[in-house]
Amino acid sequence: MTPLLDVRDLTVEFDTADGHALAVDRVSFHIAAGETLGIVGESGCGKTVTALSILRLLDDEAVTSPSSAIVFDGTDIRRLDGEALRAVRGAKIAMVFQEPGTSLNPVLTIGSQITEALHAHRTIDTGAARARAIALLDLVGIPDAASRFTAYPHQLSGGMQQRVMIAMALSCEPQLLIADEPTTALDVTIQAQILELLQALKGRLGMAMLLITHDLGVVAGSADRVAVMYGGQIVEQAATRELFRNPQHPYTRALLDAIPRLDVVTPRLPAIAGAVPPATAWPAGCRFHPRCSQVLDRCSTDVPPTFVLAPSHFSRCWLADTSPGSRDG
Amino acid sequence: MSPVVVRILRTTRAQIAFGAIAVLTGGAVLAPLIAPYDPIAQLDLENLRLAAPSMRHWLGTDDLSRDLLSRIMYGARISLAVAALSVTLSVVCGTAVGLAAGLGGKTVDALLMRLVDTALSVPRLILLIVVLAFWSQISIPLLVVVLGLTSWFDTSRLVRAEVLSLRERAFYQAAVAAGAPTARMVRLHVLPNVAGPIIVAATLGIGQMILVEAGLSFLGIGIARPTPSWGRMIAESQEVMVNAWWTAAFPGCAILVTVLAFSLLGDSLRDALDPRA
Amino acid sequence: MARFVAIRLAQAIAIVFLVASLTFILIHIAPGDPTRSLTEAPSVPPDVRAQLRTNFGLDRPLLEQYARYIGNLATGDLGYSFAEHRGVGAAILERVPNTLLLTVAGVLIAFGLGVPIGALQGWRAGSKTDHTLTVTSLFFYSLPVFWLGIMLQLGLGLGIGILPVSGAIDPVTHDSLPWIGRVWDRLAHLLLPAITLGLVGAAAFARFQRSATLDAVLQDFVRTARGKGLAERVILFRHTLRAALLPTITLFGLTFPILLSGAVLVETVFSWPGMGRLIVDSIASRDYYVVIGTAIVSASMVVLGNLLADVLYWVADPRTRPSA
Repeated sequence: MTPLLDVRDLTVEFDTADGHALAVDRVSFHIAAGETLGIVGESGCGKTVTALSILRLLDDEAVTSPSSAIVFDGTDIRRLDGEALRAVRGAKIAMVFQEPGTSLNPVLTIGSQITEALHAHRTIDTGAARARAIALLDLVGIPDAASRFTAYPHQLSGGMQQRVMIAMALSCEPQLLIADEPTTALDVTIQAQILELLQALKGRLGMAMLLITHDLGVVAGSADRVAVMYGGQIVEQAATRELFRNPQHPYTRALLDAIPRLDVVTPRLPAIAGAVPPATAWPAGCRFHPRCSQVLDRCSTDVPPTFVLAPSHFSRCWLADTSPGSRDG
Repeated sequence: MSPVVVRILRTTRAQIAFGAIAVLTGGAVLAPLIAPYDPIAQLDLENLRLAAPSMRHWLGTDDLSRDLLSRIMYGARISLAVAALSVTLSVVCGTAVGLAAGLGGKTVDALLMRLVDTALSVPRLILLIVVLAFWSQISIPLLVVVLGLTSWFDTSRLVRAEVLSLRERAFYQAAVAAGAPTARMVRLHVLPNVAGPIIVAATLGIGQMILVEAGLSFLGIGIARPTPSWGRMIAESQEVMVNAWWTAAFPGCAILVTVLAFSLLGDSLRDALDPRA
Repeated sequence: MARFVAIRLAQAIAIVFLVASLTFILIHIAPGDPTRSLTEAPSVPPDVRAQLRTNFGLDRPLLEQYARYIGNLATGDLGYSFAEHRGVGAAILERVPNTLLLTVAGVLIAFGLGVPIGALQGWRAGSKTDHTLTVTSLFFYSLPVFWLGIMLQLGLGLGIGILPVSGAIDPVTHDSLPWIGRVWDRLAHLLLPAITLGLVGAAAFARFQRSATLDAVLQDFVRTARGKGLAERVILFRHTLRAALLPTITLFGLTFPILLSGAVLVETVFSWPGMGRLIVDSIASRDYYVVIGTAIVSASMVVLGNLLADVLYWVADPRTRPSA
């Protein structure tokens, strides 16, 4: 079965004041219809750039390499132009951003920001668009939706603003929803509500979802499969259950250790030592090796390939190399 | 600072601006040596009144048979000196008032800022007219002092805002509690942050100051005669310009080129200091 | 809102009195009696001069003169013009409509030209068009406004002879014209001075609007709009410009004093019978209450202009509305 979205060898580069940045490096993943893929990693690992490049929302300075392919429903989005690209954006693939406060236009009512998406993709009269927008606001759990139609974003709380963003994204019933850190800017209790809402809506509308987060805890309950990103590359990919039970890459393990647990008394939450290096200066060899607790000699010189551990479990780490003599170095 | 200077010097715009400013300043400073004629000498009232530009008088002569090129070169001395000195004075005043308002407590701050509001509500040229109109003789020092003392308002707001935001920060409060002298805190944390915007504003300000000075002398409120000044040369040309366009055109071109050079330099500095734009 | 306007009006009145005091002091710092020309003219006999000085209270101590001036100002009396032989208020009031006509026309040209140009530059920042327009607006930004006026006079007025170059009306024919002719006469006289003022203002507006638009283009909500699949035209006009025009409302208030300064020069070049001409003429005749009065009236206009801009901003920006 062909996947709904098939991203192959996605590479994104741009020039910054500090030099040439390789933000995303040959990233490949796919999402089937109705499936949820989580992409997890610290900030600066390239996950947001990956998300934005699917809808081609990156700034003009960012260059996507010509060998990359982003095939959605049989067409390569990279080859679409003007009109055809707009027909995908918002209609077939919709996006929810990290900061609802700045992602909504402060000088337009929330109602009009929902209806303009409808008008952009469908032939619908004003009254019907309004009715649908109110129904959507109701669907995402905004109380008294009809009266909120004419409210401005600043009159709502952060959680309510994110619900509006979700309503807006759902307005044209997309086949794929990209949610880029949808809960990061919100309070912890609101985070759980928004995740529950996304999960419920996904089931109800049968859409696929790409959930991007720095928090493995967020994907645990929502994603079918998880891709872990570091240094612009996917370092491990597996079914969620498999990844949590049997993590292979030291980075994944470190991320798992950083999740607070209720059943174990941890005196101090372990954090990963060091910081993500800038995209202009990735270390040689494995990009994680300066921070890795299980570093081998070859890690600083040889770039690890992607090892296939099981049909759907990949790890980009020399520890996963089972070929004879691999542990000698 | 040095990488910034390098970045500025690399743009064509900045090089053109620097070149123009160097030529203008050189011409002004060396005017007594290189100007072809005495700027106030009436060369030949019989034959040389309103002579068109020629090989002998590159920019022509005015209706008193004075050489326009020489007058423009001498005029540059007034314009550049007055503008540079008064902008310097205004930066010093603005920084001082800004620091006083930011550090002097609520009452001082309120008083100074109301004064700034008041001064800003009078259009600048009208304010200058009020101050200068009734002096019978306007000297360069007077003009510099008046121009400098009527243009520091924006700088003071900038410095004040920076001081206030510094005072909000925890490390400042901790340092003060630990007995760090205010002067040192200001030197270390306020001045470096405002230096960039102030240099940009001052560079653009020199250009605007030249325009203001020219406007005043156009209205007859400039440096006393017979010192040549660009603004008055234009004012005096009005009577004769229908027959002698050069008397009006060239002094204006001199103002335009000078102001343009400083504006270009100011914009280049802004772009170099603000990587976003 | 009403409370806000009331507070601002009270501040405005305070500012007007401060301006009056400041200008009164500043004028008396200048050496010599500002009324010398009238009271010390050789043709005036000494006893008449003394009588005049007494009549106008000029023989009183400065502090008393100041107190009397401020007292009169509170009742709306701006003093007496020695040159015009009538109240300063009346003399200025007669000129205010002309100055307002000129500055409003100048603002309209500046706004109509500068804002679209700046918005285009910000939207297409870094393009060839942007660079060309940046240099063009810098050129006009660096022009002495009075010289631009003279060059336009020389080129369009005197050279081709299509437009009148001085005054607000044709003094000979105006009154005998039919109403449509009178309107045209006024417009023709207004055209060159307003264009002069407007071009220089447009350069300032364009520079400002470019950076405001650039700020707006980089906002997250523009990316959201693009992600919704909206047409670029909709993103520009509905999302970007709406946000980028809000700061421009404030600029209206800020530009007003600059345009009034420019108007003094432009009115002088084109012999436009406005406040600017009046103040320049009063310097020559040493009519110092007119000079103070003009400063006060122009300051009031600036303060009211700023208040108007604030109210407009308040109406235009939904963020000033309370939370539901």
